[in-house]
Amino acid sequence: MDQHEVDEQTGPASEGRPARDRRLEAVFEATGTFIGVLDPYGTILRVNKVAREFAAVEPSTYVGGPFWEGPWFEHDDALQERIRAAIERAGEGEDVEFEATQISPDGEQIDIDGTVSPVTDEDGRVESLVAQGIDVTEQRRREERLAAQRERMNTLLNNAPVVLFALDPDGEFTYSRGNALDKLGLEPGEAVGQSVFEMFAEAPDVIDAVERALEGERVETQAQQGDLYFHTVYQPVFDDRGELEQVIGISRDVTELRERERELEAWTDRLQTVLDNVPLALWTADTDGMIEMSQGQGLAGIGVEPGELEGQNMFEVFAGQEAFLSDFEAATAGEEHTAVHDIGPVIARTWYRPIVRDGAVEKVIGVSIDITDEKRQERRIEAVNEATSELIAAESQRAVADIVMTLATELLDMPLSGIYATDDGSDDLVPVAATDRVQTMMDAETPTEALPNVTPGSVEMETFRTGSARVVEDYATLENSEMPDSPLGTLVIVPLGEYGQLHVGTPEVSVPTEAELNIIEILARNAEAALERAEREAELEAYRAELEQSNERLQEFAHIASHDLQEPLRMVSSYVDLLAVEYGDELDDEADEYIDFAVGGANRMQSMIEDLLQYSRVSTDADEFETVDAAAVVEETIQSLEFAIDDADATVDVEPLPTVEADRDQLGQVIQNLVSNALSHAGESPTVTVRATEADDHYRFEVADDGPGIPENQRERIFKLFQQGSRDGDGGTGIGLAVCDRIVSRHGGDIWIESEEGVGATFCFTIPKRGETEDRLAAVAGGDAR
Amino acid sequence: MTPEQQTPIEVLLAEDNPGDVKLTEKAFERGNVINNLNVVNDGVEAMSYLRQEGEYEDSPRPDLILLDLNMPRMDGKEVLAEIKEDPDLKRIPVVILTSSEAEEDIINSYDLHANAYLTKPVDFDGFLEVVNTIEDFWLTVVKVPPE
Repeated sequence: MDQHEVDEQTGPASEGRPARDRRLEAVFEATGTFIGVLDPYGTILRVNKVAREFAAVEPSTYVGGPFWEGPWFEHDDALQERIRAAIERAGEGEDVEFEATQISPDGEQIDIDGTVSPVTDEDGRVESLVAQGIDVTEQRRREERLAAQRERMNTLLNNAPVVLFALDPDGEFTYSRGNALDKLGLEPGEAVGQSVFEMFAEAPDVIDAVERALEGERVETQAQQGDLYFHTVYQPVFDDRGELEQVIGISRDVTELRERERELEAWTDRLQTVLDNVPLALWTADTDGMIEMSQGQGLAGIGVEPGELEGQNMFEVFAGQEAFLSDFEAATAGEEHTAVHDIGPVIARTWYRPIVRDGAVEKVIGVSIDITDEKRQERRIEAVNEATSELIAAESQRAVADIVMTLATELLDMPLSGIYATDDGSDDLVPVAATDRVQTMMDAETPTEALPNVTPGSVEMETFRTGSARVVEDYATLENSEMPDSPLGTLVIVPLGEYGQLHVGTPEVSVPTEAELNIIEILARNAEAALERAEREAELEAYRAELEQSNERLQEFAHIASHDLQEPLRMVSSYVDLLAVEYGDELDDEADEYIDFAVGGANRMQSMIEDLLQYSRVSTDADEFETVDAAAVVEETIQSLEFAIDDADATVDVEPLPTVEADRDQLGQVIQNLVSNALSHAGESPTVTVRATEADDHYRFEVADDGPGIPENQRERIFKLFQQGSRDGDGGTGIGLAVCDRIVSRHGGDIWIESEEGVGATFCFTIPKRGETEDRLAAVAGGDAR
Repeated sequence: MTPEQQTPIEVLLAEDNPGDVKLTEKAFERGNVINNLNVVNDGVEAMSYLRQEGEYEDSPRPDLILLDLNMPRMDGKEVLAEIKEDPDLKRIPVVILTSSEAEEDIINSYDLHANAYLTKPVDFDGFLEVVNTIEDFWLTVVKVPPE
C-alpha cells in the first residue's frame, strides 16, 4: 500500500480552497497527532496522514463508516463501545477524553490519549466532531519509571537507618523522613511544621548545633537521645544570593557502632595492658627480618623498651647472635620450633612460629621468655649436686660445715651463714663453722668466737626442736633471738636432723625466693646426710683406732709371750735338765720321773707359747692378698710334711686346685694345719684328700680324711683356742684349728666340719672371689677360647 | 786342736740373767775348748770391759763376744752398734744370744753386722749344743783376722 497515493487521493478534495485553509490543511496533515474529522454522528469524513498510516488499509474502506468501527479499533469491542459512547456525548456538545491502548502497525503496544471534541457553528449546533489521538507511550513509561523511582526512594528513605530532615531558616522542620525516626518515636513527616527548638528543647546539644548551622556553619555532632547516640551532620544550604535557604541534615544511630568502638577500645586496652605487662617478648618480623611488632616486658631483659625495635631489622639488632638468627631463619623457611639462646645478659627460650599465607611464609611470630632465673636455678642445683660428692667425701663435721659455708656464700649470695652442731656436753648447739664475712663482721678469730651458742629457750633452739626450716624475714624484730644486736637482716634457719642447724643469712632484709629456699633445703639435706656420714666415719675411725690399739696390745702380748714368758720357762727347763745331768747319778728313779714331768710340762708350755704367738701373728704378721696358685701352695705344704706323712703311713691325694686371692703363707698354714690335724687324728694309714670346688662368689676347699670322724657336739668348739678334740692325746696344743679359723676369717671366708662318724671328717673352708680374680679368670678364659 | 795350743781363748759374755750366765759357764766347762769366760751384766759394763776402762783396765781382749740383746742400761743392739763402729773392736766376732725369736730382732742384729745369731734353747742339752757349735764354728773353723 502506498501512503502517498492515499494523500494524493485525499489531496484533490481540498483544491480550490483559500490559502488559510491550505495552511490548516498542511498542519492537519503534517501533525504527528492522530486526527479524524467526523460528522456529529461519528461518521468518518476524513483522517490525517498519521491516522491513515496507522489504519494500514485503504481509506475508502472506512471513510464514510462509523469512527468506532474504524480499523484502529478492530478486535477491541470494549474500546469500540467506549469510543461510540464518547462520540455520542461529544455529539451533544461535550469534550470527551478517553484512553486507549493500541497495537501499532509495527506490532508495538502504544498508549493513546484520545479526545473527541465537538465543532459548533454560530448557533452552537454541533457541526462536526474532531477525534484526536496522541501517542503517550513514552510519556507513560517515563512517568511509570519516575513513580517506581520515587517509590524506591521512599522505601529507602522510610527504611534507611537514618533521619533525613530539612529546616527552614526559622528552625522549623520542612522535611523529616527515615527509618530512624522510629527511634525518636516519630512518624515520617510528623515533625514537619514543628520547631526544632521546641521539639528538642531538652537537648541542648541539638539546639546548639542547630543554632550554629542556622548561622551558616556545617556542624557535626554526636549526641545522646535517650539510650541512643546519634551522629548528625547539619549542612546549611544557601540560595543564589548567599542567603541561608535551609539547613538539611542527616542523623545516624551510632549507638551500636559506638558500643562496638568502645568494646574494641576496651579490648585494645586490655590487649595493650597484657602486652605492656606480659613477662615475655612478643615480636613479629617478616622474612627479611624487618620487625613489625616488639612488645612485652620481656624486652626489658635485653634493655629495650616495648615498641622500640619496631621498624628495625632483626639481623642488625641481633648481629652477632648467630644461633638466635639462624633459628629465626629456620622459621622463615617454615619450621616451627623452640630454642634456647644466651642473648646478652639473659637466657631466653624462644618459640618461633611461621605464619603461612598462600603457601608462603609471610612472617614469623616469636614469643621469647626470659628463663635466666630458671637456668640459674638449674646451674645452682647442678653446683649443689656437684658439691654433694665433695660433701659426701668430707671426712669430718668440720669439713662438711666448711663446704656448706662456701656454697652458701658462692651460690646463694647469703654471706652471713653458719653451722651449728649438737654438743655432747650440753643442751646447746655450738657453732662449728661460719662464713668469712661473719668472722670479719664479728671481728673474731674463729667461728666459735664469732657466733654464740644456740641455747635452750631461744627462737633458734625452738626451730631446731621443730625440725622444720624457718625463714626470719627481719631478724632485728625477732624476740628471744640469740643475737639481738647482730647485723643480720634476713635469716633462714634449717635444722639438720639431729646433727645441728644451718643458718643462712643476709645483712639486709631480703626475703629469699622460692628457688633460693629450695637450694637451701637441698643443701641442708645434703649437709645432714654428709654429717651423718661423717659421724659414722668418726665412729668407724674410733673403732679402728681401738682395734689398732688392741692389735698393739696383742703384739705387746706376743712380745711378752715370746721373750718374757719364755725366759723363766727356759730357766725352769734348763736347770731341771742341768739337775738331771749333774746329779742324775745321785737321784732315784722317782726323782728322774719328776724331772721328766717338769721338763715335759715346760716343753709343752713352750709349744703353747709358740702356737699362741702364731695365732697372734695371723693379723700382726699378715701379708697383702695376692694371686696364689693353691696347687703350688699345697704341694709345698705336703713336701714340708713329708716325714709326718711317712710316720703316719698316710696317703695324700691332691685334686686340681684353683688360683685364689689370698695371703700365700697363711693359705699354706691353713692347709698345713688341716693336713697335720688329719694325720694326727685319722688313725692308721689314713688317706687325706685335698680338693676344691668353685661357686659363684667363692672357692670351697676341702681337706677330707677317712678317719673315725668328729662327733657333732665337738665340731663347733674344735676351732676355739686351746680346745682339742676328744680323739687326741698326741700333745697338740689345740691352737692349730683356731689359727685356721682366724686366717679364714681374715680372708672373709668360713670354716666348718662335715663329718660322719666312722666314715671320716671333712674340714671345709671358703675363700671368697675378688674382683681382680674374676677379671683375670675371665681374661684367661678368653685367652683359652682359641 | 792340738795340746800345744793350750792358750785359753778369751770369751766375753754380756748377760744380765744369772741363770743364763751359769748355764753358759756350765756349757763352756763341758766344752772341748779351754777358755776364760768373762762375764759382764749389762751393755755399759761390756763397753768398759772392751775398752779396758776402770776395773777392766787389765782385762784381756776377748776372742769372741756373746751378747744378750736384752740388758739393762745399754742393750745388746747398742753394744753391737758401738763395737761395729769402733775400728779397734769391730773385728771381734759377735754372737747374739737371745731368747727372742722375733724376726725383727734377727734382721736388726744382722744389719748391725752381728756375726751370728743364736736363740737360747729351752733345755740344758740344747744349750750345750749351742756352745759347742760356737766353739767349733768360731774358734776352730773360722779364721779370725789377726789383731
